[in-house]
Amino acid sequence: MTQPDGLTRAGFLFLLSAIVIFCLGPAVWQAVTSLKPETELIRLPPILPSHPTLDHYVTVLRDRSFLRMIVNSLIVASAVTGISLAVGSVAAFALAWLGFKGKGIVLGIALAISMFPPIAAVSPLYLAVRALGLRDTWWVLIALHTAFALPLTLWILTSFFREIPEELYRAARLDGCGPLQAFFKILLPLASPGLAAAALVAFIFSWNEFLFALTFTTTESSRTVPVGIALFPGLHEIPYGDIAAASLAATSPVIVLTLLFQRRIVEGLTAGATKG
Amino acid sequence: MTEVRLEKLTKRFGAAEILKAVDLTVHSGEFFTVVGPSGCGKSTLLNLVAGLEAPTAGAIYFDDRPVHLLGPRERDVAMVFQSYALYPHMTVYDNLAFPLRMKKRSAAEIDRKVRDVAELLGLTPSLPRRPRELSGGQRQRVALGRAMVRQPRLFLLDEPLSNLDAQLRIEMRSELKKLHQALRATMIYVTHDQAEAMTLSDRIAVLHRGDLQQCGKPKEVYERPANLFVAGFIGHPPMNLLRGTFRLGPEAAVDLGAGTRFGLAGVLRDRLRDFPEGGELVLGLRPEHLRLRKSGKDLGRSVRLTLIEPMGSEVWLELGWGDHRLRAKAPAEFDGSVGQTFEFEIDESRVYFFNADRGDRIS
Repeated sequence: MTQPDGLTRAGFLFLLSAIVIFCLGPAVWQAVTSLKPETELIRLPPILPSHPTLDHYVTVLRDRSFLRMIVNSLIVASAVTGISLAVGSVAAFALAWLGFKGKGIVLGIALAISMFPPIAAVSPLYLAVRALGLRDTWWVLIALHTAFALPLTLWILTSFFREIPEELYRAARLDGCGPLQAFFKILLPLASPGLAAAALVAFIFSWNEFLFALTFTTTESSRTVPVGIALFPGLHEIPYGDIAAASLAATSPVIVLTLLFQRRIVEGLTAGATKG
Repeated sequence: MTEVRLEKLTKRFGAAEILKAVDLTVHSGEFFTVVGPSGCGKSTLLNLVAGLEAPTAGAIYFDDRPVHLLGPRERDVAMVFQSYALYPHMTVYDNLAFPLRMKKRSAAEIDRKVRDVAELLGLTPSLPRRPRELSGGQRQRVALGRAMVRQPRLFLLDEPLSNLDAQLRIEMRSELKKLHQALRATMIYVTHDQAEAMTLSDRIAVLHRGDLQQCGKPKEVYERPANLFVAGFIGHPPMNLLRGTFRLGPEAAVDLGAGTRFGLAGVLRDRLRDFPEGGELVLGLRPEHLRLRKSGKDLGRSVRLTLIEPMGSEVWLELGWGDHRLRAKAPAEFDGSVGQTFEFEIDESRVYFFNADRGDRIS
């Protein structure tokens, strides 16, 4: 290994800052916008607000319908995460550990479902959902989001379970565990970084999902945040400030979750790699 | 203490026959070793006894009770794995307590037994630590302790020493033997290392390609190998095996080709009296039984020294005998240099003959 010379270092820093700006730029712009008073919203300069204000946040958070949407989103995304993990972990255990025919086919179908373009399914689903009388309920979103999140969690968890040395499962069986006890007492704790990763993926997917939420919700009793924000613009004006404040308010739970789980996920990934 | 009996135990994976109708009895309280090269089916045999896999055919009895349909939990056997298989998310204490907790023993009893076992294995200071903080030898002890703590009727050990470095392996080997003497439990040990098999075991079984080759006391197997495979596998360095033709005539001999002959006088000739003239056989000579002499009467056993390997306490020699190569062991004081010619001698009782086609030993 040679010391990186100045040019390499400069190039690295340039690339790094380019990526950071590219990724964080929009979010920062939203944050700036959310703090601008109404009069400065559609003017440049100033780039930064001359009198930063929390007015937009107050407006948005006082709005009962916005809070209602946050609750809707929380309930739907939590249910989707819970169901995906519960079903996905047991299924992944079977796929990774128990010998049965057609494992590859099951995983293949799961992958195919997660690749399936939702837009193609919306029309037939709409008819089905209407026939079942589930329009504008949490249930329809929970069911549809789970259908798409579950294959992802299944894949993540299956690969995590496969990383666990098989002898641990056999040791647990000999130490007196039935297959399910071995699963809950040994394998599941060891796969917890995988569970965290899968939970995050499922939660973010459901939290951000727009198409189904737009199609199958009609009132604020079941409307989720992304749809709600998209419906902010009124007939005569677009409340950029409120939209920006609402977006940040809606994104922050996900960011907090990610930061909470990040260490565990990274820890888990490296622990698996070195077989410590 | 349990007697384990295998009857026509067979395991197939698809078309591959891993175990072929193995009959075997492990006596109660015995340290029994199944030895063979990798892929011989020894680990499968252990898994079948443990109940982790189901046999394709045949039966397993513990003290005359059939167990091959029972799950691992009902069989009450403990296993020590090559990789130790310690639960990484638990402390040493919890690892040791785990089998007892699964049996729903009282907290007080668990605590007492865990501490007893830890004391016995010198693990007390390590109890609050996690497996990743331990050395290889300590992990090995925890794995042993987890097996011992619930006093199973049978111990299964799957190459438990092969992940340790050479010095620690020898240390743990004698510890294991002492442990067996203290516990007097039935232990089935699986290894590819014939030195481990020889030193540890009351009896050993040699397995090759799913077939039981021979079963007996280590000394018996060493002194009276049943066939060519056992002869070549047990012993270090392995037995010299030379293929030749049996010739009678005025001087009976094994004709090893290219003018090399192994003369058969008296007893040796007698041992081959039922063997057909002109039949192919394999001559077996253990390196440690060959004695080299600088001069003497020419018996046609004139060999040329081609290589000297000092091993410290002894030297290993490589000798050219006609077209054949022989291995020999000599004391460390051995005085000779490459290129020198010697005569070798061997006791008649130490010469082995094997049927070249079937591989079985000719008595």
